[in-house]
Amino acid sequence: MAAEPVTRSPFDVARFAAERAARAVRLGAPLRYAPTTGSTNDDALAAAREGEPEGALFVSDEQRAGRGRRGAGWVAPPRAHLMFSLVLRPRVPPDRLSTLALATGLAVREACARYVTSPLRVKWPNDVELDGRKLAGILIESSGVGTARLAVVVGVGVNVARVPWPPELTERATSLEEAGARVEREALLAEVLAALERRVAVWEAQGLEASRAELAAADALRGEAVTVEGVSGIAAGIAPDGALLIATPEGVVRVVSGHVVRAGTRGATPAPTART
Amino acid sequence: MALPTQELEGLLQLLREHGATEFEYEDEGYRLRIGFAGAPVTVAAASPAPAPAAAAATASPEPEEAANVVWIASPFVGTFYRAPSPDAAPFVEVGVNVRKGQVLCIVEAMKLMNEIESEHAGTLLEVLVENGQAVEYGQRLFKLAKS
Repeated sequence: MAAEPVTRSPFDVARFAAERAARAVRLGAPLRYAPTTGSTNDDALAAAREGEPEGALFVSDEQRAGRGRRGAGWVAPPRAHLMFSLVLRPRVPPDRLSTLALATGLAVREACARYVTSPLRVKWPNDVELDGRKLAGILIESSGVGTARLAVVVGVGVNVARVPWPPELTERATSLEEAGARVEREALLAEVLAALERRVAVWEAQGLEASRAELAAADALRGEAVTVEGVSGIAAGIAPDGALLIATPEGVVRVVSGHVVRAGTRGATPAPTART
Repeated sequence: MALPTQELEGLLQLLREHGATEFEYEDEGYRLRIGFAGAPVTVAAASPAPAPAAAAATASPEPEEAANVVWIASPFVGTFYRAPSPDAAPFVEVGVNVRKGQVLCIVEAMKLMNEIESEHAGTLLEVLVENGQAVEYGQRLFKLAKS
């Protein structure tokens, strides 16, 4: 392996094509690669509105306006991380869509588990943690809900290279390289797509039902004291419809939206990831 | 057990005569609560729901709307956002003309940001939900005058 981390090279389209072919992945075509862009999610959503087909993949080495939840900005060094947005056109009723973030989290976890041995968990609803630190983030956006034009853009950012985190994040964010794995982004992307392809097919047919045991085992919050939008209690698992269950003195509360703050966490700012 | 219709009517009359504002009755598997807060009247009953109670619940019909007035409702439970990001301008403002298929807002559930489109072309009359507010399935978000 080269002394210089391979993840510092620009995304190699030919190498990705070979990695994808080796895994016989259907998702990932057409590939729209841009060395730099505002946000791959924005690009994918705009293209999806114009009829971009399922499987279209938007990859970038650098995003000037990458977005987390509700526009929370972040800065990633160019070429350090994997950032992509994938167009899907799922045939599911609108109320079933929201569990896609959890299915995607499980796919990212599965792909990353090929490279690292430390525990990987899914933090409801859309982060993947490695050793309790944020490794990956997911942002899903839809257009045309309730119409035949429905398009879903699955944005994923995985921290690949070792980067200098600001002091307040060193304990909260991590990367595959920090965990000892030197991973090529092209191979990782093919792995994530392969896992996602299998899981999306199952999810379209039966939602999270088939993943319940896996999700329970992968649940990063289970048993932890949390607060979400004013509801405080102990995280008590994830319901089949994807809702986070919180055990409070008044009973179990279902949460479907909001930012989870763990007890003892300073502030409510999410750790940055290579988000799309 | 549920009260027979006749008895319930008698009860309602009695309560009105005495100017009662609230009445609650509970028996095995059956609960009846009647509230008189001027209009609207609230009646909530556990199963089986007596028919007259349901009738009483509709005692104050909504004011009649013009025939071209339509509502855009939320397709899921989630959080309502009027703008694509906190520092961006809202998708739409009251008084503007919207196209069919134009994005009106985002409803977020489990980090899935769903653009909600207008099902009709028309003029936006009212935004019924505050930015950042939780919304229910089927809750009305916008009021529109169809063009």
